[in-house]
Amino acid sequence: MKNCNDILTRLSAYHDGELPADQQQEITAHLAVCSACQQTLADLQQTSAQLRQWSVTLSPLQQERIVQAYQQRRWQRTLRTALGLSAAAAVIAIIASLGWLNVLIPSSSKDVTTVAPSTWEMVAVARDDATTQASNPDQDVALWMVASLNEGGNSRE
Amino acid sequence: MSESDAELISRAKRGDEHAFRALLALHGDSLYRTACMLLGQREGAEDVVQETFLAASVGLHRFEGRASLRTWLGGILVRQAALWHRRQKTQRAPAPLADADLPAARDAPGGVDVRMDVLAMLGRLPAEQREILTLREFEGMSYEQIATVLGIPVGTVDSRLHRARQALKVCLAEYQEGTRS
Repeated sequence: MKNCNDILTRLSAYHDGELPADQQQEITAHLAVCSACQQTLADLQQTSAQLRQWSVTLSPLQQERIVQAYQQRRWQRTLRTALGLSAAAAVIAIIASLGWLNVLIPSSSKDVTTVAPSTWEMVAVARDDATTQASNPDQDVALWMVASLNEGGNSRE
Repeated sequence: MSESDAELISRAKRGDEHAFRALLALHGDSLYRTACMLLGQREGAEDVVQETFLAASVGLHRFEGRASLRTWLGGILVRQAALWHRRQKTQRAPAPLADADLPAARDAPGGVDVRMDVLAMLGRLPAEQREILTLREFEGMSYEQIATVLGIPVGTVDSRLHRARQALKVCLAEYQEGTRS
């Protein structure tokens, strides 16, 4: 016969019907001849029954509080959604307005102060003789003209 | 899932307050009882039930109907109770119940008139043991379901439940001894 200690460690699972069939049968056979284990099982069943008997209910006031919390949470969600949509609409409206402004203002009237001083022309005219290292009168004239033009452009700004 | 549950869920998903009230009437008491058991007291149980229903109302679109609505709500409740415990740890110790709040189960099998203060006894157990007893005795979950909900192996469910029942037996014996003397 199995030791009672071994049975007792599995009695809880036996009570719940959670043991494999062979172990369930083994314990049933033991219980048939062991009054001490029978008593332990009876105590276990009694405690379970007492626990399951216990009941409690939500009062109408408690139920109402839960419903109110639900309503409040729903309003908060609706408000958040509405605010989110409004913010998105405002951003879209601002972007669209800026786009229209860009279309409506003619390009000739735009500010030219942002145009960078042009030095690329100087490079362009000097590039031809960069390899010769020799002074070229034509190149000197071209460089002088570009420099003058640039000075004129900058003074307009 | 019962037909009434399915209809109520469908309406509650659309924000129908009457459907929400009906779901609360159907499952509120049972969830409240489980919440009391999980917390080992009434204080906070209403909050846990409230948060459970609010979380459920937000997540209803994720409910696929594979389990019953009650089982689904039970899973949410267990998580909300765990959150409540976590918050309490950072705040203060739970207050003991007033005598008027203590429920009793009379006339236990065996003919012994045992006035068993279920909540007070469960309240003496560690949260871990109280939790597993609640899931088994009140939620009627199988060991496998408990293992899934708590994220522990089935073998641990078995041993933890065994220890919880032994501890409860000791509490019950002390309680009965106290009432006799």
